[in-house]
Amino acid sequence: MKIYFYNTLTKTKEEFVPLNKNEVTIYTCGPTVYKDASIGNMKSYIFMDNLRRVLKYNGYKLKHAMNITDVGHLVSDGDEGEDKIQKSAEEQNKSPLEIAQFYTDKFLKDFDRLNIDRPEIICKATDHIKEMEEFVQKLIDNGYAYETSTAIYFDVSKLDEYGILSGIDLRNQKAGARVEIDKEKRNPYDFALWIKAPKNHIMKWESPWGLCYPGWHIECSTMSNKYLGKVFDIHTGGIDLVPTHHENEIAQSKGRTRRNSSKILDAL
Amino acid sequence: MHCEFLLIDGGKMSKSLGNTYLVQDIIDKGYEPLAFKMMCFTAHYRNKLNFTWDALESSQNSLNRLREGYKRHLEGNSEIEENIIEEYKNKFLEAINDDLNMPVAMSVVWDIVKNPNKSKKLAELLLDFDKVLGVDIQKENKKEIDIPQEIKDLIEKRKIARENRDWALSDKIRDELKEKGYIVKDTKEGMKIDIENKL
Ligand SMILES: [Zn+2]
Repeated sequence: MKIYFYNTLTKTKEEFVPLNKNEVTIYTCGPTVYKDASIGNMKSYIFMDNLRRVLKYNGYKLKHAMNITDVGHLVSDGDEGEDKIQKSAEEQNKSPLEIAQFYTDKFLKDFDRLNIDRPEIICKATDHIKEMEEFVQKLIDNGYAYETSTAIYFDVSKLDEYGILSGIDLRNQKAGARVEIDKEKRNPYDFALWIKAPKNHIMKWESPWGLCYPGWHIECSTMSNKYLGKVFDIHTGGIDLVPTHHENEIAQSKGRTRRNSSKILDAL
Repeated sequence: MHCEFLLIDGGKMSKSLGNTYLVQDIIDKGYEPLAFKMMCFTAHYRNKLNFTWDALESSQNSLNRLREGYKRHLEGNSEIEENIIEEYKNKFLEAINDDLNMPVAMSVVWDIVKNPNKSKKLAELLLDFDKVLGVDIQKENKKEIDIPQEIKDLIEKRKIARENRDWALSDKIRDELKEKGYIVKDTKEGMKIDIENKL
Protein backbone atom coordinates (compact mmCIF):
# COMPACT_ATOMS: atom_id res chain seq x y z
CA MET A 1 0.00 0.00 0.00
CA LYS A 2 1.19 3.51 -0.79
CA ILE A 3 2.44 5.70 2.05
CA TYR A 4 1.83 9.45 2.21
CA PHE A 5 3.74 11.87 4.42
CA TYR A 6 3.46 15.60 4.88
CA ASN A 7 6.49 17.47 3.60
CA THR A 8 7.19 20.62 5.64
CA LEU A 9 8.95 22.17 2.69
CA THR A 10 6.26 21.79 0.06
CA LYS A 11 3.47 22.02 2.64
CA THR A 12 1.68 19.10 1.01
CA LYS A 13 1.14 15.44 1.62
CA GLU A 14 3.27 13.50 -0.84
CA GLU A 15 3.63 9.88 -1.74
CA PHE A 16 6.63 8.52 0.09
CA VAL A 17 9.17 6.75 -2.12
CA PRO A 18 12.51 6.04 -0.42
CA LEU A 19 15.78 6.66 -2.26
CA ASN A 20 16.73 3.04 -1.67
CA LYS A 21 13.76 0.76 -2.01
CA ASN A 22 14.71 -1.52 0.88
CA GLU A 23 16.05 0.84 3.49
CA VAL A 24 14.69 4.16 4.72
CA THR A 25 17.14 6.74 6.03
CA ILE A 26 15.94 9.10 8.75
CA TYR A 27 17.55 11.85 10.78
CA THR A 28 15.99 13.13 13.99
CA CYS A 29 17.16 16.18 15.89
CA GLY A 30 17.70 14.80 19.35
CA PRO A 31 17.81 16.50 22.72
CA THR A 32 20.19 19.07 24.13
CA VAL A 33 21.06 17.29 27.33
CA TYR A 34 21.19 20.05 29.93
CA LYS A 35 17.92 19.48 31.80
CA ASP A 36 15.07 16.99 32.14
CA ALA A 37 13.02 16.36 29.01
CA SER A 38 9.38 17.34 29.51
CA ILE A 39 6.37 15.45 28.24
CA GLY A 40 6.16 18.20 25.62
CA ASN A 41 9.55 17.08 24.29
CA MET A 42 8.42 13.48 24.52
CA LYS A 43 5.42 14.14 22.27
CA SER A 44 7.87 14.71 19.47
CA TYR A 45 9.73 11.44 20.18
CA ILE A 46 6.46 9.51 20.41
CA PHE A 47 5.82 10.82 16.90
CA MET A 48 9.31 9.64 15.90
CA ASP A 49 8.56 6.20 17.37
CA ASN A 50 5.28 6.13 15.49
CA LEU A 51 7.03 6.90 12.22
CA ARG A 52 9.61 4.16 12.79
CA ARG A 53 6.99 1.58 13.66
CA VAL A 54 4.79 2.45 10.70
CA LEU A 55 7.71 2.13 8.27
CA LYS A 56 8.74 -1.19 9.82
CA TYR A 57 5.14 -2.41 9.68
CA ASN A 58 5.25 -1.68 5.96
CA GLY A 59 8.28 -3.93 5.71
CA TYR A 60 11.06 -1.37 5.48
CA LYS A 61 14.41 -1.66 7.15
CA LEU A 62 15.54 1.53 8.84
CA LYS A 63 18.78 3.41 9.13
CA HIS A 64 17.93 6.15 11.54
CA ALA A 65 20.32 8.52 13.27
CA MET A 66 19.53 10.77 16.22
CA ASN A 67 21.98 13.23 17.70
CA ILE A 68 22.64 14.13 21.30
CA THR A 69 23.64 17.79 21.55
CA ASP A 70 26.20 18.06 24.33
CA VAL A 71 27.91 21.30 23.27
CA GLY A 72 27.20 24.45 21.28
CA HIS A 73 23.45 24.95 21.78
CA LEU A 74 23.22 28.50 23.07
CA VAL A 75 20.49 29.84 25.33
CA SER A 76 18.94 31.93 22.54
CA ASP A 77 18.82 29.02 20.02
CA GLY A 78 20.82 31.44 17.85
CA ASP A 79 24.25 33.00 18.26
CA GLU A 80 23.68 34.76 21.54
CA GLY A 81 23.90 33.70 25.15
CA GLU A 82 25.73 31.03 27.05
CA ASP A 83 26.11 27.39 26.13
CA LYS A 84 23.11 25.62 27.70
CA ILE A 85 25.20 22.69 28.93
CA GLN A 86 27.85 24.88 30.50
CA LYS A 87 25.23 27.08 32.19
CA SER A 88 23.54 24.03 33.70
CA ALA A 89 26.93 22.64 34.78
CA GLU A 90 27.79 25.87 36.57
CA GLU A 91 24.40 25.99 38.28
CA GLN A 92 24.72 22.42 39.51
CA ASN A 93 28.42 22.58 40.26
CA LYS A 94 29.25 19.73 37.91
CA SER A 95 31.35 19.36 34.79
CA PRO A 96 29.68 19.74 31.37
CA LEU A 97 30.51 16.09 30.71
CA GLU A 98 28.77 14.96 33.88
CA ILE A 99 25.72 17.04 33.07
CA ALA A 100 25.50 15.66 29.54
CA GLN A 101 25.87 12.05 30.67
CA PHE A 102 23.36 12.46 33.50
CA TYR A 103 20.62 13.90 31.29
CA THR A 104 21.35 11.56 28.37
CA ASP A 105 20.77 8.58 30.67
CA LYS A 106 17.54 10.07 31.99
CA PHE A 107 16.35 10.86 28.48
CA LEU A 108 16.91 7.31 27.26
CA LYS A 109 15.24 5.93 30.38
CA ASP A 110 12.11 7.87 29.38
CA PHE A 111 12.38 6.27 25.92
CA ASP A 112 12.17 2.85 27.56
CA ARG A 113 9.28 3.87 29.79
CA LEU A 114 7.32 5.08 26.76
CA ASN A 115 8.26 2.04 24.70
CA ILE A 116 9.99 4.28 22.17
CA ASP A 117 11.94 2.28 19.64
CA ARG A 118 15.53 3.59 19.68
CA PRO A 119 17.16 4.83 16.47
CA GLU A 120 19.86 2.54 15.11
CA ILE A 121 22.45 5.29 15.55
CA ILE A 122 22.62 7.65 18.51
CA CYS A 123 25.50 10.08 18.08
CA LYS A 124 27.00 12.71 20.37
CA ALA A 125 28.19 16.07 19.06
CA THR A 126 31.43 15.98 21.06
CA ASP A 127 32.42 12.73 19.32
CA HIS A 128 32.40 14.48 15.93
CA ILE A 129 34.46 17.63 16.45
CA LYS A 130 37.01 16.73 13.77
CA GLU A 131 34.32 16.04 11.15
CA MET A 132 32.60 19.32 11.98
CA GLU A 133 35.85 21.21 11.58
CA GLU A 134 36.25 19.65 8.13
CA PHE A 135 32.67 20.60 7.23
CA VAL A 136 33.36 24.22 8.20
CA GLN A 137 36.60 24.23 6.19
CA LYS A 138 34.68 22.91 3.19
CA LEU A 139 32.12 25.71 3.50
CA ILE A 140 34.92 28.27 3.60
CA ASP A 141 36.59 26.65 0.55
CA ASN A 142 33.28 26.70 -1.31
CA GLY A 143 32.83 30.39 -0.53
CA TYR A 144 29.85 30.09 1.77
CA ALA A 145 31.54 31.01 5.05
CA TYR A 146 33.80 33.74 6.41
CA GLU A 147 35.82 34.40 9.54
CA THR A 148 35.35 37.28 11.97
CA SER A 149 37.14 38.00 15.23
CA THR A 150 34.57 35.94 17.14
CA ALA A 151 33.38 33.16 14.87
CA ILE A 152 33.12 31.54 11.46
CA TYR A 153 29.81 32.58 9.95
CA PHE A 154 27.66 31.14 7.20
CA ASP A 155 26.91 33.79 4.58
CA VAL A 156 23.20 33.40 3.80
CA SER A 157 23.35 35.89 0.93
CA LYS A 158 25.20 33.21 -1.07
CA LEU A 159 22.04 31.17 -1.31
CA ASP A 160 19.09 32.09 -3.49
CA GLU A 161 16.63 30.40 -1.26
CA TYR A 162 17.57 30.91 2.37
CA GLY A 163 14.36 30.85 4.40
CA ILE A 164 12.58 28.48 2.07
CA LEU A 165 11.42 26.13 4.80
CA SER A 166 9.87 28.64 7.16
CA GLY A 167 9.06 31.27 4.56
CA ILE A 168 11.32 34.04 5.89
CA ASP A 169 11.77 36.79 3.35
CA LEU A 170 15.26 38.20 3.75
CA ARG A 171 14.48 41.53 2.07
CA ASN A 172 11.70 42.29 4.53
CA GLN A 173 13.73 41.11 7.46
CA LYS A 174 16.68 43.33 6.65
CA ALA A 175 14.70 46.51 7.06
CA GLY A 176 13.71 45.66 10.60
CA ALA A 177 16.83 43.75 11.49
CA ARG A 178 17.44 42.89 15.10
CA VAL A 179 20.16 44.63 17.05
CA GLU A 180 23.32 42.86 16.05
CA ILE A 181 25.71 41.56 18.67
CA ASP A 182 28.51 41.02 16.19
CA LYS A 183 29.09 44.06 13.98
CA GLU A 184 31.30 41.99 11.70
CA LYS A 185 28.40 39.88 10.48
CA ARG A 186 27.65 40.57 6.82
CA ASN A 187 23.94 39.81 6.96
CA PRO A 188 21.59 39.74 9.91
CA TYR A 189 20.64 36.11 9.23
CA ASP A 190 24.22 34.86 8.98
CA PHE A 191 24.73 32.28 11.67
CA ALA A 192 27.75 30.95 13.53
CA LEU A 193 29.21 27.65 12.38
CA TRP A 194 32.24 27.65 14.61
CA ILE A 195 32.66 29.88 17.62
CA LYS A 196 35.93 31.19 19.00
CA ALA A 197 35.81 30.20 22.65
CA PRO A 198 35.91 32.95 25.25
CA LYS A 199 38.34 32.24 28.11
CA ASN A 200 35.62 31.01 30.44
CA HIS A 201 34.18 28.51 27.98
CA ILE A 202 35.01 25.05 29.31
CA MET A 203 34.46 22.85 26.27
CA LYS A 204 36.75 23.96 23.43
CA TRP A 205 38.97 22.35 20.85
CA GLU A 206 42.15 23.29 18.98
CA SER A 207 41.36 24.18 15.35
CA PRO A 208 42.81 26.16 12.41
CA TRP A 209 40.98 29.20 13.82
CA GLY A 210 42.19 28.79 17.40
CA LEU A 211 40.38 27.31 20.40
CA CYS A 212 36.78 26.94 19.31
CA TYR A 213 33.56 25.07 19.86
CA PRO A 214 30.95 24.12 17.25
CA GLY A 215 27.65 25.88 16.62
CA TRP A 216 24.50 23.85 17.18
CA HIS A 217 23.39 23.71 13.54
CA ILE A 218 26.66 22.39 12.10
CA GLU A 219 26.43 19.39 14.41
CA CYS A 220 23.33 18.01 12.79
CA SER A 221 24.51 18.58 9.22
CA THR A 222 27.82 16.89 9.99
CA MET A 223 26.33 13.84 11.66
CA SER A 224 23.53 13.34 9.14
CA ASN A 225 26.12 13.57 6.37
CA LYS A 226 28.43 11.10 8.09
CA TYR A 227 25.84 8.44 8.93
CA LEU A 228 23.25 8.82 6.19
CA GLY A 229 25.10 10.47 3.33
CA LYS A 230 24.50 13.71 1.44
CA VAL A 231 20.86 12.93 0.83
CA PHE A 232 18.48 10.95 2.96
CA ASP A 233 14.76 10.28 3.09
CA ILE A 234 13.20 11.89 6.14
CA HIS A 235 14.23 14.58 8.58
CA THR A 236 12.12 14.91 11.72
CA GLY A 237 11.95 17.19 14.72
CA GLY A 238 9.70 19.46 16.73
CA ILE A 239 7.93 22.30 14.93
CA ASP A 240 9.95 24.84 16.97
CA LEU A 241 13.10 23.78 15.11
CA VAL A 242 11.85 24.92 11.70
CA PRO A 243 12.62 28.66 11.60
CA THR A 244 16.25 28.60 12.72
CA HIS A 245 17.80 25.21 13.23
CA HIS A 246 16.45 23.39 10.21
CA GLU A 247 16.67 26.41 7.96
CA ASN A 248 20.36 26.55 8.80
CA GLU A 249 20.85 22.83 8.34
CA ILE A 250 19.53 23.13 4.80
CA ALA A 251 21.83 26.08 4.12
CA GLN A 252 24.89 24.18 5.36
CA SER A 253 24.12 21.09 3.32
CA LYS A 254 23.61 23.18 0.20
CA GLY A 255 26.82 25.06 0.82
CA ARG A 256 28.76 21.87 1.20
CA THR A 257 27.44 20.24 -1.97
CA ARG A 258 27.34 23.55 -3.88
CA ARG A 259 23.88 22.62 -5.02
CA ASN A 260 21.30 25.26 -4.57
CA SER A 261 18.38 22.95 -4.92
CA SER A 262 18.84 19.31 -4.33
CA LYS A 263 17.27 16.20 -3.01
CA ILE A 264 18.25 17.41 0.45
CA LEU A 265 15.22 19.62 0.37
CA ASP A 266 12.89 16.71 -0.22
CA ALA A 267 14.24 15.15 2.90
CA LEU A 268 12.37 17.61 5.03
CA MET B 1 8.17 16.14 8.97
CA HIS B 2 7.61 18.16 12.10
CA CYS B 3 5.63 17.53 15.25
CA GLU B 4 3.36 20.18 16.79
CA PHE B 5 3.48 21.45 20.39
CA LEU B 6 1.91 20.03 23.49
CA LEU B 7 -0.27 22.49 25.39
CA ILE B 8 -0.83 22.21 29.12
CA ASP B 9 -4.34 23.08 30.33
CA GLY B 10 -4.87 25.00 27.10
CA GLY B 11 -1.76 27.16 27.47
CA LYS B 12 1.97 27.03 27.02
CA MET B 13 4.23 24.88 29.13
CA SER B 14 6.57 27.06 31.14
CA LYS B 15 8.85 26.93 34.10
CA SER B 16 7.23 29.96 35.72
CA LEU B 17 3.80 28.30 35.63
CA GLY B 18 5.28 25.17 37.19
CA ASN B 19 3.73 22.98 34.52
CA THR B 20 6.75 21.53 32.76
CA TYR B 21 5.70 18.00 33.58
CA LEU B 22 8.05 15.06 33.21
CA VAL B 23 7.41 11.39 32.56
CA GLN B 24 8.39 10.90 36.21
CA ASP B 25 5.50 13.16 37.29
CA ILE B 26 3.10 10.91 35.41
CA ILE B 27 4.44 7.89 37.28
CA ASP B 28 4.35 9.72 40.61
CA LYS B 29 0.67 10.48 40.11
CA GLY B 30 -0.01 6.79 39.64
CA TYR B 31 -0.37 6.63 35.84
CA GLU B 32 1.57 4.66 33.29
CA PRO B 33 3.82 6.57 30.87
CA LEU B 34 2.09 4.54 28.14
CA ALA B 35 -1.16 6.30 29.04
CA PHE B 36 0.51 9.48 27.77
CA LYS B 37 1.39 7.66 24.57
CA MET B 38 -2.27 6.71 24.19
CA MET B 39 -3.15 10.37 24.67
CA CYS B 40 -0.80 11.34 21.84
CA PHE B 41 -2.79 9.03 19.53
CA THR B 42 -5.94 11.09 20.10
CA ALA B 43 -4.61 13.94 17.95
CA HIS B 44 -2.74 14.03 14.67
CA TYR B 45 0.97 14.77 15.14
CA ARG B 46 0.63 17.97 13.10
CA ASN B 47 -2.00 19.29 15.52
CA LYS B 48 -1.49 20.69 18.96
CA LEU B 49 -2.47 18.36 21.76
CA ASN B 50 -3.90 19.66 25.02
CA PHE B 51 -2.65 17.88 28.13
CA THR B 52 -4.73 17.88 31.31
CA TRP B 53 -4.58 15.43 34.20
CA ASP B 54 -8.24 14.56 33.53
CA ALA B 55 -7.39 13.71 29.95
CA LEU B 56 -4.51 11.54 31.16
CA GLU B 57 -6.90 9.75 33.51
CA SER B 58 -9.18 8.96 30.59
CA SER B 59 -6.22 7.84 28.46
CA GLN B 60 -5.19 5.47 31.24
CA ASN B 61 -8.76 4.12 31.24
CA SER B 62 -8.57 3.67 27.47
CA LEU B 63 -5.33 1.76 27.82
CA ASN B 64 -6.88 -0.50 30.44
CA ARG B 65 -9.93 -1.03 28.25
CA LEU B 66 -7.76 -1.91 25.29
CA ARG B 67 -5.89 -4.55 27.29
CA GLU B 68 -9.11 -5.99 28.69
CA GLY B 69 -10.58 -6.05 25.20
CA TYR B 70 -7.57 -7.95 23.93
CA LYS B 71 -7.91 -10.47 26.74
CA ARG B 72 -11.59 -11.04 26.14
CA HIS B 73 -10.94 -11.77 22.47
CA LEU B 74 -8.12 -14.10 23.46
CA GLU B 75 -10.50 -16.10 25.65
CA GLY B 76 -13.25 -16.15 23.00
CA ASN B 77 -14.06 -18.95 20.58
CA SER B 78 -16.26 -17.27 17.98
CA GLU B 79 -15.56 -17.72 14.32
CA ILE B 80 -14.67 -14.59 12.38
CA GLU B 81 -14.77 -14.46 8.62
CA GLU B 82 -11.49 -13.84 6.91
CA ASN B 83 -12.82 -10.88 4.91
CA ILE B 84 -13.78 -9.03 8.11
CA ILE B 85 -10.23 -9.39 9.38
CA GLU B 86 -8.92 -8.19 6.02
CA GLU B 87 -11.20 -5.17 6.15
CA TYR B 88 -10.00 -4.16 9.62
CA LYS B 89 -6.42 -4.63 8.54
CA ASN B 90 -6.83 -2.53 5.42
CA LYS B 91 -8.54 0.30 7.24
CA PHE B 92 -5.81 0.38 9.86
CA LEU B 93 -3.03 0.31 7.29
CA GLU B 94 -4.72 2.99 5.23
CA ALA B 95 -4.91 5.25 8.29
CA ILE B 96 -1.31 4.86 9.41
CA ASN B 97 -0.04 5.25 5.85
CA ASP B 98 -2.02 8.46 5.49
CA ASP B 99 0.60 10.64 7.19
CA LEU B 100 0.35 8.66 10.43
CA ASN B 101 -3.32 9.33 11.06
CA MET B 102 -3.47 7.76 14.50
CA PRO B 103 -6.93 9.03 15.52
CA VAL B 104 -8.43 7.11 12.58
CA ALA B 105 -6.20 4.08 13.23
CA MET B 106 -7.40 4.05 16.85
CA SER B 107 -11.03 4.10 15.77
CA VAL B 108 -10.36 0.81 13.91
CA VAL B 109 -8.76 -0.57 17.08
CA TRP B 110 -11.86 0.36 19.12
CA ASP B 111 -14.15 -1.22 16.53
CA ILE B 112 -12.28 -4.49 17.01
CA VAL B 113 -12.36 -4.22 20.80
CA LYS B 114 -16.13 -3.63 20.71
CA ASN B 115 -16.85 -6.47 18.28
CA PRO B 116 -19.25 -8.70 20.22
CA ASN B 117 -17.90 -11.87 18.59
CA LYS B 118 -14.95 -12.67 20.80
CA SER B 119 -12.32 -14.40 18.76
CA LYS B 120 -8.67 -15.37 19.07
CA LYS B 121 -8.16 -14.13 15.53
CA LEU B 122 -9.17 -10.62 16.57
CA ALA B 123 -6.83 -10.85 19.56
CA GLU B 124 -4.06 -11.76 17.14
CA LEU B 125 -4.94 -8.79 14.97
CA LEU B 126 -4.80 -6.40 17.94
CA LEU B 127 -1.43 -7.81 18.90
CA ASP B 128 -0.26 -7.23 15.34
CA PHE B 129 -1.44 -3.60 15.50
CA ASP B 130 0.45 -3.17 18.76
CA LYS B 131 3.64 -3.37 16.68
CA VAL B 132 2.63 0.11 15.54
CA LEU B 133 1.10 1.37 18.79
CA GLY B 134 3.75 0.03 21.15
CA VAL B 135 1.52 0.23 24.22
CA ASP B 136 2.13 -3.29 25.50
CA ILE B 137 -1.41 -4.61 25.13
CA GLN B 138 -0.48 -8.00 26.57
CA LYS B 139 0.37 -6.45 29.90
CA GLU B 140 -1.92 -7.27 32.82
CA ASN B 141 -3.71 -4.22 34.15
CA LYS B 142 -2.67 -3.12 37.58
CA LYS B 143 -5.24 -4.06 40.17
CA GLU B 144 -6.04 -1.07 42.33
CA ILE B 145 -4.91 -1.66 45.87
CA ASP B 146 -5.05 1.04 48.44
CA ILE B 147 -1.76 1.11 50.27
CA PRO B 148 -1.80 3.05 53.54
CA GLN B 149 0.62 5.94 53.94
CA GLU B 150 2.54 4.15 56.69
CA ILE B 151 3.35 1.33 54.27
CA LYS B 152 4.24 3.75 51.47
CA ASP B 153 6.73 5.43 53.80
CA LEU B 154 8.35 2.10 54.63
CA ILE B 155 8.58 1.20 50.94
CA GLU B 156 10.20 4.54 50.21
CA LYS B 157 12.66 4.07 53.08
CA ARG B 158 13.57 0.65 51.75
CA LYS B 159 14.09 2.02 48.26
CA ILE B 160 16.57 4.56 49.60
CA ALA B 161 18.32 1.90 51.69
CA ARG B 162 18.76 -0.23 48.55
CA GLU B 163 20.08 2.72 46.59
CA ASN B 164 22.64 3.18 49.35
CA ARG B 165 23.39 -0.55 49.25
CA ASP B 166 22.38 -0.82 52.88
CA TRP B 167 21.21 -4.43 52.59
CA ALA B 168 20.83 -4.97 56.34
CA LEU B 169 18.35 -2.09 56.65
CA SER B 170 16.62 -3.14 53.43
CA ASP B 171 16.09 -6.68 54.81
CA LYS B 172 14.89 -5.34 58.13
CA ILE B 173 12.23 -3.20 56.45
CA ARG B 174 11.21 -6.15 54.27
CA ASP B 175 10.56 -8.25 57.39
CA GLU B 176 8.65 -5.39 58.97
CA LEU B 177 6.46 -5.11 55.86
CA LYS B 178 5.86 -8.86 55.87
CA GLU B 179 4.67 -8.68 59.46
CA LYS B 180 2.14 -6.10 58.37
CA GLY B 181 0.97 -8.34 55.56
CA TYR B 182 2.82 -6.84 52.58
CA ILE B 183 5.13 -9.05 50.61
CA VAL B 184 8.02 -7.39 48.81
CA LYS B 185 9.50 -8.82 45.65
CA ASP B 186 12.59 -7.36 44.02
CA THR B 187 12.28 -7.71 40.28
CA LYS B 188 14.21 -6.40 37.33
CA GLU B 189 11.66 -3.60 36.98
CA GLY B 190 12.02 -2.63 40.64
CA MET B 191 10.17 -3.40 43.84
CA LYS B 192 6.79 -5.14 43.62
CA ILE B 193 4.34 -5.32 46.51
CA ASP B 194 1.79 -8.06 47.06
CA ILE B 195 -0.81 -8.22 49.79
CA GLU B 196 -0.69 -11.44 51.76
CA ASN B 197 -3.80 -13.46 51.24
CA LYS B 198 -5.17 -13.93 54.71
CA LEU B 199 -8.33 -15.83 53.73
ZN1 LIG C 1 19.33 19.17 14.64
